[in-house]
Order: sequence, then structure tokens, then C-alpha cells
Amino acid sequence: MTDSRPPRASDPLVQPDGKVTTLDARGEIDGLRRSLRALPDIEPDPELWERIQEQAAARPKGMGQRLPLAVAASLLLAVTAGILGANLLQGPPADSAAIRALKERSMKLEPFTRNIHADPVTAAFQYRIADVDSQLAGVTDGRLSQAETQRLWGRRVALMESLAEVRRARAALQAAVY
Amino acid sequence: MAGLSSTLLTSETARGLKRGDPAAQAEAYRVLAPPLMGMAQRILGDRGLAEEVVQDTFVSMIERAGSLRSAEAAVGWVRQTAVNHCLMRLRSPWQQRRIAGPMREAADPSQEAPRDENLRDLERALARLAPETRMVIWLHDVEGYTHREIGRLFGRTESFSKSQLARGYGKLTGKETVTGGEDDGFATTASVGPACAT
Repeated sequence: MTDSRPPRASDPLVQPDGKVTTLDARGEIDGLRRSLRALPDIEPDPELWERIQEQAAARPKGMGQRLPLAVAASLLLAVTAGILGANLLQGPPADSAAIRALKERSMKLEPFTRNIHADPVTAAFQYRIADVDSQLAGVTDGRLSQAETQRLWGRRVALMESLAEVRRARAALQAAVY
Repeated sequence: MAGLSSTLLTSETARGLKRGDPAAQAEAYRVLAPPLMGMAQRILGDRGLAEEVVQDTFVSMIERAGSLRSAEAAVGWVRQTAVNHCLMRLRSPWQQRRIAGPMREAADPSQEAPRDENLRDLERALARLAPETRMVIWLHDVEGYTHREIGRLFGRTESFSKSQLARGYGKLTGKETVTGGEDDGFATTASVGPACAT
């Protein structure tokens, strides 16, 4: 006989793994989720926008200004190769051999760039590597050309090699001192 | 209201961003900076670090908005960039001392802390979680990331995200027996314990 009354919060439900669930516990988590979404935004320091503008103006004219040209160049290349339609419809093309090689090099360097003694020098390298990573995020939705992708991976590898070199130099210095 | 997922730029502002229009950049900052700051501060637990994230994100936006495929992608791009900057700081041994400590009290409670007592409790409880756990909870439940996306972000599996989420809610509710479930990491078990007021 089926119990047709609506479920109560305290009703136990048996999970496939044998654990018991109650609606009130579930409801509590749902309530927490709603509360998380209800947390207010936080206003940054009133002067932050000014600092951002100053920093952006002070940085060398770099990728932001060069990119339209790079995009135009890669578009021209894509049209020439007759792959523009396929690229736009299917997302990013497969990695070139050069990009694959850079990725492999990057993976090999990873162990040498972890657990490094923290200081401003290594932190600066880590920031730069993370900055490159944030730009590489554009690869997944097809925003970056192969040329730009290769340039970024090359930059990442160069930074990691520098960081690994810092680590090696420190180890050598310590060995010499002690 | 927290979260960038429900924040929109007008199409005029988004198009202006792509063109590098300073007025559009200022407008995008006005609209996006507070939710971005909310996300970063709750993930990192440090106002100074959160402002650094906002600053780095918007400097990148000013430099690179022209390369966006579409104006509509601007908010998603800003959010992803900010998330990457948060993650970078979580991973940096140099920053871990700042992040690991308890979340600083707001300098001016009337301006920053939620007026609702329950929300204040939630802020405090959130601040006591491990930074990675906070980040998983925020990305999943406020920003709407999937477990797969979070796992990929951390260079881990989908299960990592689910277990972090379950562990986090277990601590927030005081129910350590919260276990992983099928779709969102929960098959909430019936233990009792002190709940974070909601």
C-alpha cells in the first residue's frame, strides 16, 4: 500500500549505499546555497579604478595592441589554407607539432617549478606563468590562433625554465655555503 | 547579490570594451568589480589579495578586450580571468601565509558585512574552511561551474570537486557525515550537529 502523504522533513530515505538521508538535512544544504548566493557584493577601494588605469597606461604597448594585427594575420592564413569554415564550426584546431613539443617540455619542467622556496623572485615568475595560463584559457573556446597559442606556450616554457634555473642556482649556492 | 554569473553588461558597454572605449571600461568596472571583489574575497579570505585579483583582472581586460571573439563573451572572460588569478594565488607558496589565516574582519561593518545575522554567520563559517574548499563551493554553487570544469581548473578529477564540496558543506552544517552523491556531490546523511544558521 502506497503512503500518499507528503514527505516530512524528518522522514528517513535509504540511499543505495545504505546511508540514511533526511529531507531536513538536504533542505539545510539548499538553504546554505541560497544564502551563499544572497551574500552581498563587496565594494573595492574607491581608488582602485584609478590604480588600474595607471597600471594599464604604464605597461608597454603589448599584446592588447598587437593582437588585432595578429588576429588579422591568422585569419588571412586560415582563409588561405581553406580551413576558416571548419575552424569556426569545430572550435580550435588540433595542436601543431611545435605546440605539442612545447606542452611536453612544459610538463617535464613542472616538477622543477613546484615546492620552490617562496620569495618575491619566484612569486614574480609564478604570477607570470599564471598570467600566461589565463591567456591560454582562450584556446579552449577557439579565441586564439595557432600562432598565438604557440607563442604563449613558448613563453610559458621560457618562464618555467627560468624558474627552474633559479631553483638550481639556489641549490648550488646552498651546497657551496654548507 | 553575490556572483558574476547573473551579472550582465549592456551590449553597448560590451561593444565599447572591444573598441577600447575608456567610458565603457569604467562602466564595466562599475558593474563587474563589486561581484568580482565578492568572489575573490570569499575565496581568498583576504581583502588585499582580492583587490589585487580585481586589479590584475581589469588591467588584463583593458589590454585584451579587443581580442574577444564577441562582446557577449566579456563577462565570462572577466570571470574566468579572475578565477585564474585566484587560483594562482592559492597555489603560490609566497601568498599562502596571507590566505591561510582567518578572514579579516571588514573595516567598516556597516558597509561590507551583511546586515543579516545569518549571512554574517555564513561568512564566518566560510572563512574557516580550507581555501580550496571555499573556492570549490563558490565556483559550484554561486558561479555555476560544473564539477568537471572545477576538476579541470585544479588539474584534478571531477571527484575531487565533489568531495571538496561535500566536505565543505559537512563542515558548514556541522554534519561530518555528508557524503558524495550522484549529481552534485550530496547524498546528505542524517547526522545531527550544530548547523550554520541559514
